[in-house]
Amino acid sequence: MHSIEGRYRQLLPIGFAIAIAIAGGCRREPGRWDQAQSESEGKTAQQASADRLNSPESSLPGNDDSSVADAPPPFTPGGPSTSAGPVTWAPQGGPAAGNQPVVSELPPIDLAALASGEPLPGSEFNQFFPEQTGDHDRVAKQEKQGFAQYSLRRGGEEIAQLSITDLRGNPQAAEKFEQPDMTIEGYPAKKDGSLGTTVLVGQRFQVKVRSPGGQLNEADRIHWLKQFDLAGIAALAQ
Amino acid sequence: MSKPIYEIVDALPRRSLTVGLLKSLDWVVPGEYVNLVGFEETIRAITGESDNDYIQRVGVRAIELYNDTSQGYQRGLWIYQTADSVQGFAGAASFIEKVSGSFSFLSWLGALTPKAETTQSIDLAVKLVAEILAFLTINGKPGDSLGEFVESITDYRDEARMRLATMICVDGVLPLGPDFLSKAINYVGGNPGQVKENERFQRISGLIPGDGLKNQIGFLQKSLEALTDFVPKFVSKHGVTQSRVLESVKRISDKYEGSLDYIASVLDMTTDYFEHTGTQTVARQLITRAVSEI
Repeated sequence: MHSIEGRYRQLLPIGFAIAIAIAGGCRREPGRWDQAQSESEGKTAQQASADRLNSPESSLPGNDDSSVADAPPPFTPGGPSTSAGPVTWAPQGGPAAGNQPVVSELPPIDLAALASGEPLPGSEFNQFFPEQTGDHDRVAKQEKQGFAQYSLRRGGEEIAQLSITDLRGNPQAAEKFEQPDMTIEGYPAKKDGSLGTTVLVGQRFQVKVRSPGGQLNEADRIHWLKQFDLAGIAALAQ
Repeated sequence: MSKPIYEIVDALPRRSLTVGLLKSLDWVVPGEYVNLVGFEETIRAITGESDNDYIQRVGVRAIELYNDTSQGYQRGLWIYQTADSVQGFAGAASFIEKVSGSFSFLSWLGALTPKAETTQSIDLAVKLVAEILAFLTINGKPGDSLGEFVESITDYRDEARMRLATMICVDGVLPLGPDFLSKAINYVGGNPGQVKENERFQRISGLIPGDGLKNQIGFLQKSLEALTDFVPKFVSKHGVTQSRVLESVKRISDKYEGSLDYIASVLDMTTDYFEHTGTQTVARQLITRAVSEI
């Protein structure tokens, strides 16, 4: 057993440490996420996205500055943000050669229309996801306003994340489809990072297949995008 | 405004009693748990991407979604925090451990009175209900049918599976024995007065479905009963016994000594596995959504 005094004595270093931590916290350097935090405080996710869309800096970084795409800024974990201002799509590879003629036939995307109005409930989207097949299993993971997501499994292992997003909830994401990399079933499509592929359906719904573990290559992802009922999703926009 | 999500995820400890506890129970769900800490690191691990600009856009969207209270991620985290151990103590414990570099402060808990089985049972029931509520708050009701929803809510992976395993080991088997579930169902049903007075229950009772205490206790019981098929199978499949759990816990620190109910109470006081892994679950679901939406 310890005496009461003994216990308090053991607590002394904690008091000092807390004081140091508080004092240290007051002088914290701004981090890479602080700007996003202050810009989105008190806003819905939809408003925050619309604000980024309308921001004069929203074409940054590097849509017309090829040096950014050629040489991405060095990554400094925990360092200040290398991306001042709202961040939007900065394609790494540019549109694939040979797809431009198709692209020019696509109607322009009405970004302003997306920035108003309520997104549909996520439950509206479930019926349009790919059906289960013999080898593949799907498990529903999230269903929120304007969003539904499934996990695609093969032999119990997740091989991809499938999602449908109503871009009324995140209008800025539609901007990237103004310069599509390809078309899928006639809809503008885009590479998504190095492990995903996404398509804009009905000028409003973003359908995406991502394979974070790398089990699916781009051709596989396009195959799975085509397993969605894209026409059914497009009809929701009417 | 609550604390920003990136600060919360950045503040998760790489090493602590809680992390030690989770790692010591790896044998229950081998390889399932990786202690993902840090906002950027978590985004990289979950997306599999390495491009700095891409990571930035995912992070910005995750921050926006978290800050929008109508999306439920803040409330989900609150549920995990609130249903965990006595507020603040586990955090202080991990802090002391960081500062002092040892677990010697555990001897300070020498006079702790073990929790009665009834309290332990109610705490377990509340944590279980909290898990269900947090799932619904974070994920909605996924699926196009009841079958799909049930499949979704039982599809526990990664840190969520580890959390469930730890709950079974540390809040179930260790203090109450392998038949803890039937004990808990009886204790919860037979002691409405104690449920009402239970601190954990009081904190989250506002979120528990049902009008009045009787219906809320009914919900607790139903939640426990829903596991009567799963838990015994889990316990036997993974060979979970009091002595094996005890052995694991003692490997974290030789200060974890004494009777089983005493050790369970000390673990409850000094670790926050429910909040720690709950934070990781919120971050995972938030980032998975953000990467889908950008």
